[in-house]
Amino acid sequence: MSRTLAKILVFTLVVIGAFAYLGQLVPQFVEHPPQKVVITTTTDKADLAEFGKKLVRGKGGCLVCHKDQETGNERGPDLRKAAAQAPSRKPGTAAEDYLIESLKEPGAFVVDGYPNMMPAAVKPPAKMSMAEVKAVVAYLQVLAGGEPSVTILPEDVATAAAATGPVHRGRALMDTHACIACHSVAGEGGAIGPELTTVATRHEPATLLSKIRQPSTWTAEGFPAGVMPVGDAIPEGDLHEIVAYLASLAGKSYSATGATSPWSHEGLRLGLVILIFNLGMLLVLVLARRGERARGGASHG
Amino acid sequence: MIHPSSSPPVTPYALKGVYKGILKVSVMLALTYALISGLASILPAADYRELPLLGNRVAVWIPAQLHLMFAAFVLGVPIFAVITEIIGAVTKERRYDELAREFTKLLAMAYTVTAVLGCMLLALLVLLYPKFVGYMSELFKPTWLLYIVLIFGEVIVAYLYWYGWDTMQGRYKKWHIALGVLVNLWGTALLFVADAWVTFMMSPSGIDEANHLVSLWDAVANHTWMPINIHRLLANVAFGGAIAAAYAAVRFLNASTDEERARFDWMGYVGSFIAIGAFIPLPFAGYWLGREIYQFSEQMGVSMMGGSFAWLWILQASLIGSLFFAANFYLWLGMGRIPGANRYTKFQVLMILVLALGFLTWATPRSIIATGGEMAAMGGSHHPFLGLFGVMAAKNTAVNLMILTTFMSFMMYRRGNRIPVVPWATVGKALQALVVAVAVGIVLFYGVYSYFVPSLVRIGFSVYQVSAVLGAMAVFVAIDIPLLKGAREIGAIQWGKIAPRAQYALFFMAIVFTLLMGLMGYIRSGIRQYWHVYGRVADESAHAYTMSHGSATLIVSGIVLVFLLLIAGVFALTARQKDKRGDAPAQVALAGEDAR
Amino acid sequence: MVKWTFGLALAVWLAVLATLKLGIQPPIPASVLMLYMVLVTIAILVFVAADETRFGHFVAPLRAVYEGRVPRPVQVAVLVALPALAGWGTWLRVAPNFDAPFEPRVVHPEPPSTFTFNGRTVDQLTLKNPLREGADAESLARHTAAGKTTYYRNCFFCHGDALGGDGHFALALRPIPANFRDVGTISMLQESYVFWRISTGGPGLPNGATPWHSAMPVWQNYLTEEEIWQVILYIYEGSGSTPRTWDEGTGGHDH
Repeated sequence: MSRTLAKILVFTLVVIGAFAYLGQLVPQFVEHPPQKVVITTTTDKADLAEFGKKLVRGKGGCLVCHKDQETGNERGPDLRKAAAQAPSRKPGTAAEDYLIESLKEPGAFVVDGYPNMMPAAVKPPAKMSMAEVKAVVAYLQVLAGGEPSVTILPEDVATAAAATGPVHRGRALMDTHACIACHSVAGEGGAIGPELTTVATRHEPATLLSKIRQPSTWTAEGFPAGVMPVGDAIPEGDLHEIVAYLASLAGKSYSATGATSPWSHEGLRLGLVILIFNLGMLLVLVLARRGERARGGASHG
Repeated sequence: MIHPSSSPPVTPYALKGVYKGILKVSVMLALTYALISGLASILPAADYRELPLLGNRVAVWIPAQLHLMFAAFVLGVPIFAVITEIIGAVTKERRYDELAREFTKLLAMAYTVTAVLGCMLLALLVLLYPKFVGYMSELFKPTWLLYIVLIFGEVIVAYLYWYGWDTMQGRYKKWHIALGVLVNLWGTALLFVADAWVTFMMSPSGIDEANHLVSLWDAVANHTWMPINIHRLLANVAFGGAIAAAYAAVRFLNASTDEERARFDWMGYVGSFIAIGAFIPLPFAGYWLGREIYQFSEQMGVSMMGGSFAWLWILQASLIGSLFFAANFYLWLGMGRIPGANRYTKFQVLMILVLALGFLTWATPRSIIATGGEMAAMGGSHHPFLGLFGVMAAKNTAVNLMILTTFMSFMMYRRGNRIPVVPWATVGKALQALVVAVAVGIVLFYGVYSYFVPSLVRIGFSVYQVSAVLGAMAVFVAIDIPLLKGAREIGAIQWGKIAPRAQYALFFMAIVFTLLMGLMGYIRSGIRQYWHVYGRVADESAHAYTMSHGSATLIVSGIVLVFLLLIAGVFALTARQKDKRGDAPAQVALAGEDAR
Repeated sequence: MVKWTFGLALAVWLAVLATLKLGIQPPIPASVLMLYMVLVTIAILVFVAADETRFGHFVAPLRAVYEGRVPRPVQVAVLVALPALAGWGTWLRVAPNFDAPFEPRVVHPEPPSTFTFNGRTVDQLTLKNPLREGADAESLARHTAAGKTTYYRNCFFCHGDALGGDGHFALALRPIPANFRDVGTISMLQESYVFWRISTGGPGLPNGATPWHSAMPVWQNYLTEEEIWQVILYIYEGSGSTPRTWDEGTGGHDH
């Protein structure tokens, strides 16, 4: 018997082994998901400008104060002219260097008629790498009708490390959607809007959600209404993650998937139903057995 | 029970059995729930948690595939059992009923293993992919509640089916068969619900731009839902039959008496018959699924058939080709124990020729591996002669002829010891030959004609080829049944007098079926590439890449080995369980008599 | 007949080998020959083992050698031949070889759903040849003629005078350039696919098609969009083939 079983086992191993071997004979390659756009030293100039545009409109949060098209904010200078005016702004500084400096250390030279209020692009909330700063400069140059002149150096890229793990991204999303330009949270950010570290202790998550979606519903005391832009451009999922982050700061729990966890109340409720079901089954069993015994006792006497 | 007319004294016995099943499921669910909520509260919140050593993907892949294989087995066995039970009730042959009973006995243990694997899978999914699973369970909330209800229902009905087997004999038989049908309906419903989740991940629908649910029904009834349902249902039957045949093969090889050998030889034959019967329409269900995938996303279809996954279809072709070889090999060896079947031995030369040429055609690669010198000699990457066989038109023709050949083997086996005596026998046989010849003609004609028409027209031809083969098979059987009515028997089939290597063929078929399930499962899941939900929810974990075919086949091989060991364990443990029937010896004696 | 099963099996095996090796021109690549012979061996063994009598007669000579019921010289010959054959096989595998390594490749690498053409994103699935869509015969002829000019200025050096993939430089490249007259190339493809291959060239090929060392330049850097479409018109016209079109919404299985 064991001999036969051993034979069968060997046979099985041979067949499976043959399949596994066949699998090694076909071409082998690993296919990775498409890379998130990362600037390298060889990035094409046109792509660089395109990337800079995304930074200006997204992560950089520049449009909170500047404008890069006809309509927009005018708290800061018009970005469409920035590159064209750069050569004449600060004597002794080349156009490209001036643009880089104005992003890295905005306070070094402030254009007449504007307050010194711009946060440095390399610090939070924008927290750009040098490569990203240069991409923004490339975009500004294209915007003014010129050619990008910047070159990305290896040391620029070195600091452009990818963001660390996607663990609840609420904080990072606040950078992406430029909330942090006006609000501060956990010690970082602007002072145009109220401080948000403790906001969730005062309001329910649902209230916060509605405020971000439609800021005109209510405004915090002591702040002017109508300043905060409408948040309908923020994807629904990001919205929930931001609220989840704020709630977690206040020690509350809010699921980023937009609902309470199915493993909480419903799981328990279902367990209760199953328990009752079990008890009922047990009862039927006991009754049936008793009836059986009674009948059996009667017939066999 | 031998006397079904007396009042059944087994009510508490059956009830107790059913209750044991319910208790098992309840305890398992409770433990899983406790484990998940306990760990989830300890572990830090995250989108993905990384499992050390194994890695998330492999950790989920192994229990998922094992769970699926066991689920296929516990869904396939009742179908197999009910079919044999019905055959037994119609033909009044006790051995069919005994066969069905023997396999139903496996269910209890197999359910337990399936449920344990399912709970492992659930725990791993929830703990390793919390955000994505949260999204899915929110989306499909009513369906998973339904799923749990269905599990309990399935357990109750299946245990009643098993524990009621001996009580519900004789005049209760039809009710017992109805119970068996109910088990299958319940199981099919379970399959359909679970399919809704996986097919939604492949071809999402019913959600808006921001991935919020618009219509639950649309999300369930997505493009690939029905094709996968049908494909899996057929595959489950084939799989159940193949495993049953493999079990019979092991028992045959270990048998010590001629009586046992006869019984298990017959059992192996029935198992393989059902397996191959369900296997023949499977390629057509696969074709439908492929069409739906193309319709949902051409990009997905192309990467499945012609892109990253193209080479895995070569592996699939070699597995299916060897399955055809094994099936015919088994039937031909089986004809050795049928008196008079040697009349058909001469056809084997032609049949092996068709099978070998078909396999060669099927295995001819579209993209030929060649050295520089060879390529220069061929004048490109296309060989002017081999190129003719590398295209789908040739492969369709080959596979249709191979199916027809295997079918003919079956028919010859059936007729082996019988000579038709009806007055129209000659006309009938001529008609059958004509039908097969016409089908072969149609298949070949369209196969050759395909090379002269644009691809748009060509795609339609495969439908004609398939219809010709299916039609020929139907007509052949329709003539065969009245033809063999009252046929003269040359001699009884000598069950048990078959070479042991035939049993290895049965075993081979079971292994290949399992490998096919593993491989196709990987392709189905793998073509989502770096998406959780194709095109909607991206997989942002470190395991989003498509691994090399070599690593994938190694993992599939490992899973298949583990599955075969587990299922062997289930068989061994069930065999050791004492049959709790008062009159077991009588039953065994009867079974022995029935084995002729 | 059955008595000679062993000899017949051997003869059939050798006959198939000879036919495949010598009977087909140009010769079959070694990889395919190997595959065929493995399958043929399995088929012969399956056939032989599927019948008790055949199997008995097949095993008989083997058993006779094994049990020493044949003349001593035969036994010695078999004992010498088996290790010698194994040794020969091993030597064939390990012998130094100056051929370039095998190149498994996918004939039609899968196109991405979108690709970038000069900074513009092109959707591969909806892309149609604008010069063919609803064009009258006159403009079609004009564009085809313009395409012919472009072809001879740029493509003909590799793809050849008669679109046969046999231009001056063809044999210096590996893989050699596509032969447009081959029914397996452009006539199996949509124009959008051809546009993608021309526009992004070798560097645009996806990983899924690896290893693939196409020397095709990235033509979007040298030709305008219109010129590329014109060339496409010409290569179809010149090779006498028509582009593939998809059945509306169904797609196809052969590729």
